[in-house]
Amino acid sequence: MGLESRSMHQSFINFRHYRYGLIAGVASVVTLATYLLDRPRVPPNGGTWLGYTLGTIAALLVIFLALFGIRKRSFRSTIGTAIGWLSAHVYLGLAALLIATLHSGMHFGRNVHTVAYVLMCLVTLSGCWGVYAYISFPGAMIQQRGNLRRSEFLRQIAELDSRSLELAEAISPRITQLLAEAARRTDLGGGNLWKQLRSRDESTLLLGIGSAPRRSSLVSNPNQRALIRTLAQIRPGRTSSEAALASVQKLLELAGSKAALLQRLRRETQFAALLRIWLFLHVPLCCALLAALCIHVVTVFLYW
Amino acid sequence: MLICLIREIAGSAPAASRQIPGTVFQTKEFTIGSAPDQHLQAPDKDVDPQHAILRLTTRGHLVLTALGPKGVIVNGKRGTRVLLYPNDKLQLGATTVKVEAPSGPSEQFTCVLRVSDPYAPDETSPAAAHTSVQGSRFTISFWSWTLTLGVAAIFLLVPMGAFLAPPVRKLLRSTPLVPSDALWSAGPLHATHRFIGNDCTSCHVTPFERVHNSECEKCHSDVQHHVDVRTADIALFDQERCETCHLEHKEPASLIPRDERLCTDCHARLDKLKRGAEVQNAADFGSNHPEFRLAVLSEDAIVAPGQWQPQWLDSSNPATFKENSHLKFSHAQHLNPKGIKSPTGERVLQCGDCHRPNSSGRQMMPIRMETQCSGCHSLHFDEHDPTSGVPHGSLQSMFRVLREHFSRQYLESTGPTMRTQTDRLRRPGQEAVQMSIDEQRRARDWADIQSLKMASELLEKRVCVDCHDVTRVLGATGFDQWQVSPVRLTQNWMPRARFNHAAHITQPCTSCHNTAERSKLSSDILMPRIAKCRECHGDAGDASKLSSDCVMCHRFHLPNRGRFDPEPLKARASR
Repeated sequence: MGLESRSMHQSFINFRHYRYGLIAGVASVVTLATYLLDRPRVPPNGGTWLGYTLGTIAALLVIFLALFGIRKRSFRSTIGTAIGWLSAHVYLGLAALLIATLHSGMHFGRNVHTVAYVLMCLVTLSGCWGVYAYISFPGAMIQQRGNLRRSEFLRQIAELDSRSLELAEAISPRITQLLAEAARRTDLGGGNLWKQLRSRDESTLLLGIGSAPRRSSLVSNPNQRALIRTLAQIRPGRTSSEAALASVQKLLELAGSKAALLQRLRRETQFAALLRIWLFLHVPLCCALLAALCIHVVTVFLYW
Repeated sequence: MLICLIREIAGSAPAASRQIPGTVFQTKEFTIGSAPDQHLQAPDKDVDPQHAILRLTTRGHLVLTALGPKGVIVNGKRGTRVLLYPNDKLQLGATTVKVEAPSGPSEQFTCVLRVSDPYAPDETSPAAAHTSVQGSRFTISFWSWTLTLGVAAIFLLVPMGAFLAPPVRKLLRSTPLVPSDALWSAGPLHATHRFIGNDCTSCHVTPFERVHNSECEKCHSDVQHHVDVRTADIALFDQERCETCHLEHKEPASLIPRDERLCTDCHARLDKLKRGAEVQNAADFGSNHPEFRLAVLSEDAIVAPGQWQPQWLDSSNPATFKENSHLKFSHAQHLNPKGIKSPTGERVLQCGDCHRPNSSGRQMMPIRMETQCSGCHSLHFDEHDPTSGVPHGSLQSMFRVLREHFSRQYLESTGPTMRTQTDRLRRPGQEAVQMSIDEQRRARDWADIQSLKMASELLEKRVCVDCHDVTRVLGATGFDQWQVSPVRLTQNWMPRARFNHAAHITQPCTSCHNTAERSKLSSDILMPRIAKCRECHGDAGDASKLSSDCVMCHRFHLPNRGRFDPEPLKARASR
């Protein structure tokens, strides 16, 4: 029981008591010590015996790290657990960057070798972002989502809209049109990746409905502010009843609720995008790194 | 144009009975799409964010232009550019737009668009459908393939063209911003090789093989070996390649390797590698380097008289550790701080008065009588004749000058015994008078006697003998009886090392040649010992002193050893 409960809380960070963290740490320390103690006959570079050794280790590590992409998709695989692979992937990935840095001997230039190194840095950086996102975002998402699914958000927004329309129809056709346009022109936070990440409310509102001498105009309506302002400015005529006034008040409340829901939906979308965006960098950059690595190895010996 | 938009909401009461308010837009381009900022917005998955544009032509026609590949559907027909007439119906997903001609109160409008749509926001609306990254147009695999193929194209495929196809090689390499095999360079070339530019294949001739010595030899054709190539020592260097020591494309760029292990790998245990090695073991300068071995010019008077060769000196034997230059010279006397007699009076000499650096400043110019000594050491012999002086360097020349001098003296009757013959001599501007044989002999004899007397005085008493070893030849008479030992001053005391005086110019001469001021004999060796150098110079890694590696003083490629053969020994054997 005790063992099970402990493994329940096991994440890829502390997997098996930081097993891979320790392995990577020891490997890094040993490599760094060897590099510092080594006295090559020429300034340190990839062509000394230590350079070749570190290069080989780093290349094998990169291939191993890339294999994680295959392992995590093969659910039937019994070669280790997925979380164990992820743990090893994270820690050994960090060690691989150190080893590759030492392999380079800090010599950089305008060549394919440096491109491979820069790609490796970018892959590692995006990976670090991924680790950060996986650690911190799910909790924040649950907190702000309040146990609601996205479809539930959308359903509630739709419900608020239809209630608003019902109320508006009782007041005047003009307000009905205003609210119908506001509902139609609500930005639900979707769109392309950039829009999802930027998370800007691009809702608009159509003003001047039905007032023929005045031209209609489109104004931006972030967080339903323009709608709330317009509703608040309605001066009920002498004929308007107390009920109409109460209805407008109700409409304002509904608009406020919708704005709050929209904000949460947008934040939810942004989190989801942030949580996945790093993979859009990590995986393509990793593929490019594998290509650059192969070219690096081949060309170093092609022009030996 | 002025467009009135009338929306009917499905499920509500008939619009006509409720005085539906219209929306009026004055615009040149009336936009239709699913995005919130469109004039006519229809949120539907079949409608693009910017779906179509409605324009008014100069002839008064309404033209609907589709912006996306989906086109527009008017009266059930799909098109990309459609003229709209009254009562046409435009379908936008579930939304229907009817075009009405302006009439009655709406006469002021270009047209009236009556829109009827069911409004229900749900997950099928286009905005909601795009709220996850997966829904984006470019997928992870798209970016992966793009980046991978891009890297492969830029860094392998295009440069490979330069490698495989000589015709395009030059074009690729010379065109800026076009990838070429220069992208494979591991680092910049050394400054001396920069002229090669991007021409990788000028050295890297065979793919997947290290650069051959023969490629270096194309330019460096006369590089000499470290050992005599005709001896068995050459076997110690079998398989050695130029690139073993001279590494290119390294940073910081250096073609001369400074690491002392390149030397000490052999020289620290040379006695084990080679029996009877000429040089002793050396591992580093600071603590494991033999005492300097000096070579002095010597003459083997029996085997090869007159031929002076550098001979190694044994510093452990004081009896033989001396220079035998045949010059009599006292540094102490010349450097007397109280001064030394000179034509201009007492003069205090400095080292630099005689030892002058050559134009590079690295070495000292040879000491010559004519330039360094003659300022004080005059070769005058006749105090009555200030122009009299014997030449330096050859006894025969000296005797000839003496005989000419005394002959002239006899003929000009300046000699005390010649007055009676005055009338018989030819004077300038007068008739020549032939001397009798007798008179001639007498004159010659007198000149010879005077010359010999003067020679004896110069060689044995006052001028030559001051500096030179003058010996008498047994049994010889006349001018043949004297012999002056030739002076050979050693110029290069350490033939195996290089020393740069210019680099030490801040130091006074005597800080290294510290015995000079006390040296009374020319046989004294005034060269500093290794301990003196070690006061400033340390091991290659010495942080407290001037780090001194092997190549600071020594060279690998030594003169007259034979060419550094580009081919290894085995290849030569099979030839």
